[in-house]
Amino acid sequence: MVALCDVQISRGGTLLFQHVNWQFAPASITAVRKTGVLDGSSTLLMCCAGLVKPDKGVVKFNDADIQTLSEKERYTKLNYCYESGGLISLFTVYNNIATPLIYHDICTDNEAFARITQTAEELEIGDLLEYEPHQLNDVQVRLVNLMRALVLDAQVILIDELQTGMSEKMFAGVVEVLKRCADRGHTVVMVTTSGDHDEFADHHLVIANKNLELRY
Amino acid sequence: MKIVSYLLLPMTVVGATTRTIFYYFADILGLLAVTLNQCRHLLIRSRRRVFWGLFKRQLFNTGYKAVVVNCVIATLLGIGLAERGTAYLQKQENFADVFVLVVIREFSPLFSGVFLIARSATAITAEIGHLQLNREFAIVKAQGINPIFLFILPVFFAIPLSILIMIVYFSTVAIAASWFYITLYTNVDWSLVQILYLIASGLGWVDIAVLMSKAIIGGALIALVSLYSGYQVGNRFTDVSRMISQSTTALLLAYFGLCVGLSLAVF
Repeated sequence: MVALCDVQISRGGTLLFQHVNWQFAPASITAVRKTGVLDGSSTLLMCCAGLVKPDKGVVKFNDADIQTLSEKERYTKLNYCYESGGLISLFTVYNNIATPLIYHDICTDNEAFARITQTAEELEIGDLLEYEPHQLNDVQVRLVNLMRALVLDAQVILIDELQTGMSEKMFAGVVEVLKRCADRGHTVVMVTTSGDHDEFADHHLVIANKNLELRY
Repeated sequence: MKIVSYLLLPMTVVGATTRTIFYYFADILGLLAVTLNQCRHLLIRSRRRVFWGLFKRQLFNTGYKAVVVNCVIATLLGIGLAERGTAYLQKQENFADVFVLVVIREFSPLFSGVFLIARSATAITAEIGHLQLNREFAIVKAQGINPIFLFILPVFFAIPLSILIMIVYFSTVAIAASWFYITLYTNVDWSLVQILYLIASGLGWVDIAVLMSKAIIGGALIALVSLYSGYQVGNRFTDVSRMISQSTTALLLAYFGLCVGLSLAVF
């Protein structure tokens, strides 16, 4: 479980969030609706992943301050899925996913291959594994970033604006994968934007007044 | 007041230049320290495997792919030396001495370093510059991997080894080209075995130590300066080309200075 305890976040001198108190429950999908272009939704997700330190307050994962977790623990348990970028230009898609697995000794080469190919098939992006990052379009980049979190089997998956540009059928398939993750006890938090389908989520939040509020 | 400021201008310029050079060297030393610090990760088998893959890639790009240009220049140099050598030196002992002095001691490390700066150091600066421009260092860090380990350590080790390899095949090809030219196009009857024996006899441990020093220190310098220059890329796309240009100039000066300086100091 990820808990935000009186969190205040600012970026470049702009206050984005203050007094945020929220718990993202395990085995659930939470949709956080964006309200503006610069509302800080990506920064909030990064903060939940431990990539951005809050100005004030603490982000906890299973009651431990995430800033006290080791880099390996943080990366493997809380995974942020970038909306754009997020991939290393020097590596193919496959090596982008496999390198951290091998570096952190999470699995062997063969296990990594099995995990990556299986997850890629689930997301229907098996053909992209030998592509270079610059060959991917924005939807493919987001799916590859999601694949990295799924391959890691991260307990908390933080997804930044996944749906934009996806066909209904493709998105339905991805939602099924996310639902299965939630059923296995994972916490899924996704930022959605106006017009996105998020009715499948268990909790619906909105960013308002520099805080998180229940949408319905 | 204006006159005083004009009089102080040279001092201001000298002071600012000295400070810039000092900070530059301090930064390079800092990069060396953090790079060496990352070597501890090589004790972990899984990380060593990641390193090894990237190291091999770098060695292939810098050491192996430079074979053609290195061999062509070495061949031309060998032919030129054979042509002039047979005409003026008469004895094969003298020819071997000149060969050791000119090709092995001086030209092989110098040319190999210059090829490496022209072919690979610029490419490394461009690569690291683009990674920096696209904020990919931060992405790697977010994955719990130190970017120095992933992007810099393999290059730091591959470049000196590449120069060493290039020195070996530059010298070998120059010897072979000389002998072929002498055999095919001159009336001189010198045997390859004798030339090789004389060249080997002319090479002392000091020569080998100086060659190794040029390769290792020069290689490390090339790696650090090109990596540092790439890392200095800011937010602008044109920063990449500016840093390539700056690092190439700095590297040529530094590498020539190192090669000539070491030769003057030792021989």
